[in-house]
Amino acid sequence: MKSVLAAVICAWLAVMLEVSGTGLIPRGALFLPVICAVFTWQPGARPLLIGGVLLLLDWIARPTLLPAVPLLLPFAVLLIVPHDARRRYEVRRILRLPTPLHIPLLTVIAAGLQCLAGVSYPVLPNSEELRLLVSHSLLPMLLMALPFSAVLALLVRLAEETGLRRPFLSELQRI
Amino acid sequence: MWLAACSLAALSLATAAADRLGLLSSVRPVLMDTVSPGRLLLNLQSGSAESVSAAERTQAQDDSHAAETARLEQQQMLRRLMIENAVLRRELQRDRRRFGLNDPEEVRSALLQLSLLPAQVLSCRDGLPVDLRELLVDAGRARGLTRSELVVQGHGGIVGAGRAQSVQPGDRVLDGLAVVGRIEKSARWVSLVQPISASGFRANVLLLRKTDAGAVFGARGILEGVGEPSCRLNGIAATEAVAVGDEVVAADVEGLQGPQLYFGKVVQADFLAGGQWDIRVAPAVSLEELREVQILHWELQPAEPSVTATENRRP
Repeated sequence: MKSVLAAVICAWLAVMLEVSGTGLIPRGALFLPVICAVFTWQPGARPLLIGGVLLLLDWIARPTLLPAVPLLLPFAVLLIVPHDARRRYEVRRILRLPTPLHIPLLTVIAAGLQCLAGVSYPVLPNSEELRLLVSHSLLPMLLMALPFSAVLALLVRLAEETGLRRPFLSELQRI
Repeated sequence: MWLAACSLAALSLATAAADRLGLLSSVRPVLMDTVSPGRLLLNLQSGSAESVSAAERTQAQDDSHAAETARLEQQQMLRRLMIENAVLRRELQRDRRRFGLNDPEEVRSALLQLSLLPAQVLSCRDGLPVDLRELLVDAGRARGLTRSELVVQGHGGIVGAGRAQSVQPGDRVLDGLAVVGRIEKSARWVSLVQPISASGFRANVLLLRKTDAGAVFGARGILEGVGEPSCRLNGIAATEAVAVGDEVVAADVEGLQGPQLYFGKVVQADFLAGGQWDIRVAPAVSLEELREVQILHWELQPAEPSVTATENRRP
C-alpha cells in the first residue's frame, strides 16, 4: 500500500510540474519516466496495474488522439523487464538488457508512443512529417526525459542497495 | 502479468471509446483540478521569488539613493492619485449624463462593463487541428467563469473579473481579437473550452465585405462548427450576395449588441442547385499554436441600483 501511495504522489508531482511549466517542460517528460520507474519498482502485476491506471488517468486529463501509451507500454514492460527478479543482474545471458537501462529504454518507447498517438491516421504521415514529428515533439521531450530517467534508474538502484526496495521479497512471499 | 497487461489494454480501449462518445468531458476538468493546488502554489512561489530577487537587486544597486527614490515615488504616487481622481470625476459626470437619457438600450449598454480574463492553455489535444475538440485553460469558477463564455486570443488591455462582479454569458471583445471557442465546462480552477470548429458550436454572425467605399456589412447567418477545420455558415438567404474572402464577424454576444468579434474568412461559397448557399469559413486562429487565451466577460456596473432608482423617479 505504501508503494502505491508513493507512486501516486510521485506521478501527481510530475504532472503538477509539467502543467505548471507547459512552455518549458514537454508533456510527459517527467511523468513518463516516473511511470516507467513504477513499472520496474517491483516484479508483479500490481505495479503494472498501478502504472497503467496512472497512465490512463493522465490520458483522460491530457488526451492525445489515441491512448497508445497505456495501451502498449505494459506489454513493452513485460517484454523488456524480466519477471524473475533474481535474474535481473545476470551477465551471462547475452540478450538480457542491463537493468539500469530498463527505465531509459521504456521512457524512449513511451515517448515514441506518445508522439505517434498524436498523429492523425486517416492520412498516413509522409517522411517529412515524421521528421518534423521527431524534431519538434520527440527530441525536446527526450532531452529532458532521458536524463531524468537515468537519475531515476540510479535512484532505484540506490534504493535497492539501501534496502528500501526489495524485489526478491515478493518471490520469497510467494514461496 | 500478461492478464494484467491485457486488462489494461481493454480498459484503455474502453476509455478511448468513452472519450469518443464524450463521456469523459466532465471527468477531465476534475482530474486537472486535482493537480491545480500544487500548480497554483508553484506559480505563486515562483512569482514571489522573482519579485523578491528583483527587489534585492534594486536595493543592492541603489542603496545609497533609497531616500531620494522614496521621495520621488511619493510624489509620483500623489500625481497618480490626482490624475485618477480627475478621471473618476469625469467618468462620474459622464455616467450621470448617460443615465439621464430616456433610451433604455443606452442605459442597458451603460450598465454593461466588459473585461478580459487571461488564461493559460494547460492541455490541448495533440494532433491535427481537425481532431482538436477541446482545450483546458487554467481559469475556473474560482475566477468567475461560467458556461458559454467566449474565449478570445489576442493582445491588449486585460482586466480580470469574476462571478463576484456578476459575470454572465454574453461577452464582447475588443477590435482585432479573434474568437477561439467558448467555455463548455468550468471546474474550480480549470475550464473546458469548446473551439469554434467543434461540433455543436453555434454563433450569430455577420458578413463583412471590404469595398472601395469602405467596409459593408452583409447577410446575417449562423456559424456552426462541424468538427472539421472549416466551419459551416448557415441561414444565408439565397438572394444575399456572398463571396470568397468576406470576413465573418459576430452579430451579437448572447443576444447583446457590442463590438464585432472576428471569427474568420469565407473560403468557399457555392450556390447549390437547390437554391441554397454552401458556405465554408476558415477560423481566424489556429488552436494548436495557443499558449494563452483571454476569456471575455460582461458584467453589470456597480451603479445599477442608482439607474433603477433614476428610472423609477421618472414620471
